[in-house]
Amino acid sequence: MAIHFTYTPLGDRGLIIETNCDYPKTHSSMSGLIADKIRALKVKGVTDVVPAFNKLAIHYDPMQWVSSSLRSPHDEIVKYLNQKLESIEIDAESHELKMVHIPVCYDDEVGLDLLELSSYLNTPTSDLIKLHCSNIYTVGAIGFAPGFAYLEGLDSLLSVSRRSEPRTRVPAGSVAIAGGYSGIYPSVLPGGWHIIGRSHASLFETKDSAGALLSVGDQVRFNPISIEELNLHQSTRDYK
Amino acid sequence: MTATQPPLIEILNPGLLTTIQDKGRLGWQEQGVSVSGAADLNSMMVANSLVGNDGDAPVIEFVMLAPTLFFSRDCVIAFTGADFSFTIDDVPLPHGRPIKIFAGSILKGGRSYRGVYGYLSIYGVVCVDKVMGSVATDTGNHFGGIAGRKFKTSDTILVREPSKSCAPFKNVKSRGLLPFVSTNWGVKDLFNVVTHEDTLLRFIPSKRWIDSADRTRKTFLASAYQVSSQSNRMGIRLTGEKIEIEQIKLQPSEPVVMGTIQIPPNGQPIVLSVDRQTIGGYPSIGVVASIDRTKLVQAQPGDSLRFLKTSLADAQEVLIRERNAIKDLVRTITNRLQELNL
Repeated sequence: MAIHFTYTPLGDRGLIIETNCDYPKTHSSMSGLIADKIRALKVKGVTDVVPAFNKLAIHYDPMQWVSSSLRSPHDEIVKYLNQKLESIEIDAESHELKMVHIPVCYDDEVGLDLLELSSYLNTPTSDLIKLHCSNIYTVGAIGFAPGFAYLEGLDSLLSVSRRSEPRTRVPAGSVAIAGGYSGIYPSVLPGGWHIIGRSHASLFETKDSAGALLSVGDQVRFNPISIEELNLHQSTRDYK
Repeated sequence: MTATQPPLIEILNPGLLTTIQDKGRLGWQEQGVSVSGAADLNSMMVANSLVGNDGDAPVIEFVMLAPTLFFSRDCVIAFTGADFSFTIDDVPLPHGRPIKIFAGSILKGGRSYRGVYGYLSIYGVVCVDKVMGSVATDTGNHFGGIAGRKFKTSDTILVREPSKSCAPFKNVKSRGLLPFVSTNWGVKDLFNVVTHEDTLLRFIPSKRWIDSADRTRKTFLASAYQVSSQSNRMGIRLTGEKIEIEQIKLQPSEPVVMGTIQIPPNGQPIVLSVDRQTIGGYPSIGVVASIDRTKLVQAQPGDSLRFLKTSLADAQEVLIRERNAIKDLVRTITNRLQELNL
């Protein structure tokens, strides 16, 4: 599949790459895939490759792209990337996306907003839970906080706006929905999303090798667990 | 070796927001980790070179009100950045010069009259664990520096002298008339003196800028914006003429950088700074040129800023020139330091 890339400056030390390609899976999976390819190129001066939804950003040091030509560092790096990316073949059909299973307890003891949502949407909690855990999600972006993944693929019935009063402390592991996304709070954070469950999965660790559980483009499935199982795992984990 | 050395520094008064910083956490933005690091990278680099350290060695950064520190042994330090006052025994210390201080010194920090961020470098190796490749303190996410937080009273900092010490003033063993020893040369301020005129910031327009209405662009270019006291290491909040820009509902967040100019629904621009998140949802009209980073972060609440459109090619050209000038400066400092020990 031939892909056409566009490059837009993001200040003088970054650029945004977009594609015109109709990827049969999702745009985010495409960004994640291209980000991987670019990282593998080990482009000089590039410090960060950041995919987010249908775009990806490259952060680079323009000093590494000073040339004797009249071209700016931006033009130099774009020329190089274009050359490298042009020849990239993406076999979208056979490309296996990583699937991550995340255990979630949907008990209303931890799904703090379940009952409120149930009456607001006029739908029993059991149906809300079924709607949430039967879809396959795609990691669209990671941001807001280290390891916080914006998951695309939420059922439209669950597409609610943020809470009118954000919480100052959302418990770590809270599984939440808002603005058409689902997400999991990796640590205790302020937040305005509706909390519908909790997971004991570790989404982010500040260790050099571990980092985040999820990457942009990954597929996510939520597996319901009981409150007993959650407590069992939580007691062995150190929640801050 | 560290075990035999007592902590070099004890914090007697932490100041307002004092942290350990370096050039920041590079390579982790894909996981939502902020870059952090010194707000004014040039001042950090020069502070380090004035004491003979690597340019991106850990430094102490302070904001608006400097800390007061006790030093348990002889040491070489330097201050750069905003013009904070520091004294030992009521004698003011010079800015932008290597200074040898002696065991038992108390460095009393004061306010800054011009600029926001000040830097203290210390010859040697500041012993702080790296988190994801950096010691930079990220107070929002609670990692780096001292337990991921700002300094508090009684905190201590270990600084190890390199085994083959080539500290400046190596042969100066005691104080003279003054409670410290310094050079008769130094580095002048790196950022232009903010007079009563507005600070001019060049910016590279984004696609949203090009697509926005003539009136919107004219307003932004013609207006002076005041730095709000709500500004912090995440962003510099501005108040002034409202910028009308279409807020697209459910617009997915996009990657952002240092200097990204965001327009939230209230039309008052926010320029993203070092502790910014990695992606942002507000429309962005452009990015402040890296060459003007120092002027941007050093603008005090109440200071007036104006924006000037520049091209990407020009922004990169002047940036390269500045970086080369700083390299030359660092080389000159290094040579001068060597002469001190002759």
